[in-house]
This record gives sequence, structure tokens and C-alpha cells, in this order.
Amino acid sequence: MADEIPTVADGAVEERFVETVEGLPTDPEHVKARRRRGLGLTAWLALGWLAVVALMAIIGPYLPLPERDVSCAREGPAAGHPLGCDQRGNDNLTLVVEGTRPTITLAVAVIAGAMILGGIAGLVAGYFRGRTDTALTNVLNIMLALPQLVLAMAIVRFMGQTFWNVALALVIVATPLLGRITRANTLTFSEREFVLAAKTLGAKHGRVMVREILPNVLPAMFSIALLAIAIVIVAEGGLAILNVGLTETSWGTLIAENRGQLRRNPWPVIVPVTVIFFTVLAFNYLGDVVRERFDVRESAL
Amino acid sequence: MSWRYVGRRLVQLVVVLLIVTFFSFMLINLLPGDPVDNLCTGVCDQEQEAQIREELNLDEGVVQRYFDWLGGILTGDFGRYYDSGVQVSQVLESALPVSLQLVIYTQIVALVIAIPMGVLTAYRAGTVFDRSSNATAFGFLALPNYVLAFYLISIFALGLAWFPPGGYVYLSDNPIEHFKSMFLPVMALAAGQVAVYMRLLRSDMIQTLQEDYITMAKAKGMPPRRVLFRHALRPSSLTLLTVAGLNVGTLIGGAVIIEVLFELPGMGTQIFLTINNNEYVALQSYIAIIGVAYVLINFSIDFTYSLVDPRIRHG
Repeated sequence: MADEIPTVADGAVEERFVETVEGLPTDPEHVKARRRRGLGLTAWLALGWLAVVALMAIIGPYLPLPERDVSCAREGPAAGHPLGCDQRGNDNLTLVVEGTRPTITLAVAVIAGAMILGGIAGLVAGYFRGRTDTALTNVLNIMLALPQLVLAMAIVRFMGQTFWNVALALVIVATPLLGRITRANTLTFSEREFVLAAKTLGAKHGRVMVREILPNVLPAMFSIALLAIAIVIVAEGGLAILNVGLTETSWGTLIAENRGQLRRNPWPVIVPVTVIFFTVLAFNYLGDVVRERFDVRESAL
Repeated sequence: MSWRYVGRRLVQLVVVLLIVTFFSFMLINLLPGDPVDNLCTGVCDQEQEAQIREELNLDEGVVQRYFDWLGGILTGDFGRYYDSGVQVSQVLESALPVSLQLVIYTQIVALVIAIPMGVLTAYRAGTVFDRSSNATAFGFLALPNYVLAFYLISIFALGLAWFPPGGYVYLSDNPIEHFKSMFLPVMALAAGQVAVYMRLLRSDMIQTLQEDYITMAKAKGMPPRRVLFRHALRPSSLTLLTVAGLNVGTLIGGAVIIEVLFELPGMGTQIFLTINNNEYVALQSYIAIIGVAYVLINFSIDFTYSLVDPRIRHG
């Protein structure tokens, strides 16, 4: 009967939603289910899309893409111009491929920076605990309390609109995310026997953190980094819309340049916006896959 | 609930507020470049420069200036725009209601859609309906709000012309046009929140539905709708309302892009304008107001929780 309310024991409930905050998911059925599952079709689609994006970023400039063609200006998709053209006759596909490299370079640079800064802060806070932890956690929380986009806008505006200033602004946005997850996982792992063993054998703090704890918290950092990359790509577009983005052609600047023409010709905006959406979707999905595989959760405490 | 606990929490609150306002203040002051140069953009004579310097109290130390500014804020003086001389508090009076409307409509729409969806997917967990709703929610989570905004504008404003593509109409001027002008921005913001709330409520409800008292209610022959909405939803809604409350705080200043795209004259648009026009004092006041609002909302939620649940007080 439909009146029957399904329970976990029915096996009807999907695994990741029944995990309790503390304690592992104990139901053997779904632990097995997770192991059994290979990369599903969706994950392959996501990986495939990201491979296309990576290719566009690396060999984009050498691809034989449609050239500028004035007769195509303000037209939608047509033969020879599968995604239409902007108001000057530039092909939308060519533009979006050209914009891939700056966008992806920025995202990768920002995530690298945030992983290093957030990783160090999180490891130190979670390992030493006590006052160090309180101080670092408070700094991260205050960074989260300030309106982040506004912060980023102010930094770029007042420090100058260069690639590295945009990157710096976004590192400040992404660091607390990575710092918090690293701290939470370090807290759990620093209690484990192998860490105690290493300490007992006389390993120095730095060595314990890097050799014993770091490898264990990396999966968690990695899954959050995938989400953070998506956030950075979205933020790049957002900053561009607010006139404080990159100066080179990027996905964001394409939106910003063409949004005034939306009424006459939506294609130059819809194309980069959709590319951003697909990329974010792919990163989010893969982040979820990694999180499920490695059983990552933020609120360990 | 001892007075000592209340006192300790209040002291903590004051410390956090001081830190947040100090950060907002330092943010603008630490940035390189002389504010005088930025304001003059190279066309000031000596006298004007001296005047700006005087007005900004630049000859005082940073700490002194911070306390002057903070004292002003406490007495309702948020500074003024250099360019026009307009008081920030005046602008705030017209901008804040617009942002609050946007945020509150968004929360109402998101909760009205998410609550029944969350309850139903929890009740039908594992079915095709549940799976497809979850997949859709995942898609909406990944959909950046400005991307959705462009889709909505293209389809419903430019294509079908059902709604205006931008602009704001006062509720008191014309309620129908007001809601039409708010519809698309609210939808653009609500979509992601619906997904968050739905998933949250679903996972919470699945646990609640396994409680003994639910089995009891079912055993007594209570109709499922009553079990779900009367007995199961109530304990699960606490988490949901917490997150919704936090989102109000985040969205007041976090909807900058949506406000700019839809030309709504709220806090977001004001911040955008102050940044583009180098209005330092106005900007630091706006950032402080948003930061303080966020902290206060957080604090009230935390505090209410500790009133309800003694374990948090003593934990």
C-alpha cells in the first residue's frame, strides 16, 4: 500500500541522506552498494565535458574555428556558425573557446592558492587545537561573515583590475571553504592511533601533519576543491557582470560585454552562460562522487 | 538559563561585532592607493585635497578614525556620499526595503515549493518521483542564479513578454506591477534555495519518519497526510527554518548581481554603485551593515536554539 512509509531497513532510502552526523553509515546494504557502483554514466558525461573544457583551454587557439564574418552579425545559429554570432560578427563558438583559457587558468590558480592557504590553516588549527584553533577558526568565520562578493569587488576595484588581483580576491573567497573542511577532518584524524604512534616514535609536528594526517584529509579537500572550482568559475562571471572581472576575453567578460544586446540577440550571452552551467554541473557532480567514495563530511565535530 | 550564560553570550556578541566592523573598516583602509587620489582622479587643486583630507580625518590614526566612524554608526550617522553629499542613511532608507522585499519573497516562494516537495520525496523515498525530484534539485543547485536570470529574461521577458526584463515598481504605487517586476528576480534567487531546502527537509524527514511516535500514529489509523504534515513536519521544520533564517542574512547583500541585472534599487545595486564611484565611506558602512545583520541573525538563531535545547548551553 502507498500508506506504507519506507524506512532505511526497506533498503528504499538512498545512502547519502541517511548518514548521521557522527558515526559511519552502518547499514551493510548501502555500504556494499557504494562499493559496487562503478563510475556511472552521469559521471562519465561529466568527465567528458570537463575533458572538452580542458581541450578548449589547451589547444583552443589552434583549432580551425569560424572566423569573423560580418554577414553573420546578430544572427542566431546558421550554417558555418553553429552557435550564431555577436553584434560585430564574431562567431560565438570561437569566442567561448577563446575565453576558456583565462577562465580555467584563473580557476586553477585560485584553487591551488586556496588549497595551500586553507590546507595549512586547517591542518594547524585541527592539529594543535586549543587557542591556535580558536584563533584560526574565528578568522575563517569572519571571512565568511563579510559579504564575499562585495569583498572581492572592493579588492579588484581598489587594487586594480588585473588577472592576479582578481585571483587574489577569489582566493579570499575560497580559502575559508577549504580551511574548514581541512580542520574538521584533521580533528578526527589527529586522534587516531597511527598519529599517536608517529608522535610516540618521536616524529616532529610538521612531519606528523604532512606525512600522517595530510594524506588522509586530501580526499576531503579534493572533493571540496571540486565544488570550490565551480564557485570560482561562477564568481568570475559575477565579477565580470559587475565590471570588476578579468580584462581578457573570458566566459564572464563575454556575458558582461554582450548583456546590453540581450534584447536584440541573446545568443552571445546564452552561449557562455550555458557553458558555465554545464561546467559547474560537472564539477558539482564529480565533487559529490568523490565525497561519497571517501565518505567525507564537514561536521566531524 | 542562567544570567551568567546570557552575559557570556552577549559579551561574545559584542566582541564579534567589533571584529566584523573593524574588518569592514580596515578592508577599505588597508587597500593600497591614497583615498584622496582615488576620489579626485587627478583633477583636485590643493584646497580641495585638503578639504577631503579634513573630511575623512586622514590626519588621525586608523584606530581613532575607526572609533569615530563606529560612534557615528551607533548614533545613526553612516557618513555621506562625497559626490552628491547625500546621507548614506537616506539611501539606506529607500534601498533596504527593496532588498528585504526581494529576500522575503524569495524565502516565501522557496519554502512554499520546497516543503511539500521535501515531505513528499521523504514519504516516497526511493521511488521514481523521488529520484527525478532529486536529480532536478541537483541541477538547480548547480545553476548559478545569474545564469538562470538570463534564461528567465530571454524566455519570459523578451520572448513571451509576460514580465518586464528589469526595473522596480513600488508596492504602494501599483501592487500588480510590483509583483510582476519582482517575479523574475525572485524566481532566479529561489530556484537554488528550493533545491537546498528540499534536500534538507527530505533527509531530516526520512529520519523523523522512523521514530516510534510516527509508527504509533500510523498504528492508530491516522491518515498519512496528517501523520506527515502534523506529526513529522513539526520537528523537522526547525532545521529548515534555521537555514532559511541564515539565508536571509546572506541574501541581503548577496543578491548584488541579481539586483544589478534586474535594475532593482536595493542594497546590492547601491553597493555596486559605491564601488564603481569610489565612495569609500558609504561602502564601508554598507559592508558593516550587512556583516552586522548577518552576525545578529546568526546570534538570534543560536540563542533561540539554546533556549529551546539545554544541551547546547552546557555543551
